[in-house]
Amino acid sequence: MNITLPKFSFQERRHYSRATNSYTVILLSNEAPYPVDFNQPPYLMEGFNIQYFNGCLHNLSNTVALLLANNRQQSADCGIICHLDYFTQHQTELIELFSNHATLKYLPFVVVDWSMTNPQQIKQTNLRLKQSGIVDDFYVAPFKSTDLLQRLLYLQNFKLIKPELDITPEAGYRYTMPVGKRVFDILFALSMLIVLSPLLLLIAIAIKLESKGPVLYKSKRAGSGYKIFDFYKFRSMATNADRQLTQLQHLNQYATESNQPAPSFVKINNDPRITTVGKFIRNTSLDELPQLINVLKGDMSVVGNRPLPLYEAVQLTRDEWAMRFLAPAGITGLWQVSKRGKADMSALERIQLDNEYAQKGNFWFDIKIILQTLPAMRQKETV
Amino acid sequence: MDRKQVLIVEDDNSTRKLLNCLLQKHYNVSAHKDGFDGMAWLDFGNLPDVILMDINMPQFDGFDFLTNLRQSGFYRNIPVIALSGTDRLTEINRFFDMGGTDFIKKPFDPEILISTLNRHTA
Repeated sequence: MNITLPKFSFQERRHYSRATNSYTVILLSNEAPYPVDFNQPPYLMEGFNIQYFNGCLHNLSNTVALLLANNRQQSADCGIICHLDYFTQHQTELIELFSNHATLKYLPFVVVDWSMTNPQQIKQTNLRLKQSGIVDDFYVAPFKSTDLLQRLLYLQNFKLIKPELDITPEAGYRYTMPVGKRVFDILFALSMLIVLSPLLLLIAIAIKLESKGPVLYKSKRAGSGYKIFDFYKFRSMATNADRQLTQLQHLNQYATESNQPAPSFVKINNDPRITTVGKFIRNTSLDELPQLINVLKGDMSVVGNRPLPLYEAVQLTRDEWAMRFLAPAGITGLWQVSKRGKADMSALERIQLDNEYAQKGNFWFDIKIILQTLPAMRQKETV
Repeated sequence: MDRKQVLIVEDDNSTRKLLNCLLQKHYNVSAHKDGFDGMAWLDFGNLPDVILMDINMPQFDGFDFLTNLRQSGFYRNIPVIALSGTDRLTEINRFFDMGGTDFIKKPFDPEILISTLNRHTA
């Protein structure tokens, strides 16, 4: 037997729900005659043409064919509703029949139950029925019959195009650095640390001599893939500097562009909290050198987008800007070599550069940025 | 302990990848570009513990998706969290009227996102 089922194009896929005059339902149930008059409460209402079936399962396909022929339906609106008890009892035969039969496997197959109340039990039954491979849905009363009807129509269309669909979930995506970039990073960071070790030692001693506290300043930053890590710098401020920040908000260079929804980055001209040594290592960008350790640890790369303090990072988790997190985090990057230090560099321009790097970053681009970084390190302005 | 499964429906490529990065430490993640693919993935035999969806998407948007979910028996009780940049109160209200569970505004704090997901899968 053959049943012509309606075909739907992919363009129409949004319009699954549609009106129907009568939906034929074949009800599989043990209780004979099963109360088709589901009036208390009205689980199945008008609009359903319910056909009771409890015969031999081998005859089911013939019954379906006959039904559809008798109804002279142009498009076959027909689905199977099966009582949970019946399904449990005849599970093996039902799976055998519905997974192999040329026509039956395209019909929506919905299991219903009127007695279950325990949410945990419902959840377990959901899983069990899903795993059977033939059950398309499971309804526990009470439910709206209009919901069931729309779902049946959806499933009917879905099952027809199902064989053509290729639904591959994007799972386990993570940013992975190209091997070449990582190798370069390790070689570069190691040789820099070795060559610069006398200088690093001098700076460390100078910091210790001027003010109390540790040599390195650690802060939490969000890097590539929004991975949060300890970001190292030479300490350039007194130890309680973070707490003073709230009192200095009015001096913030980025605070003026308040009309647009741009993120509020903090950058203060001639910050009074900076120590003398701090001022020198900042002007020469030497305070950034400990990030070579971050590079060795794999938190960062030499070239990439600036890892952001968390209060800045949370403001960039929106569609337009999320891309910046999908590139490596780096000591230097497009932003630093483009026009670092210019007072008119807006937060928006900065993020645009980040996105730009995320799109076109490659090895030679990185080398170019490293070469451009050296002159940029001598900053004219105190940033 | 079994890892919980989260279904992500988000049309923006970058945000979808970022969510993947953020959540895979805590969840089994399945991410899709629109409501149609998300719905199809479910009907291919999957039953996630929580759904995270964008509202404004081309073709099969968050509202279409939510309608289909709530009409279904399998999925009507799965918590659905909207992650959207929308400011329009009518859209947010409509989301909750249709059976949405929670709303998170973009830009979002990843820590809040994770704690919200944890709360709804506990």
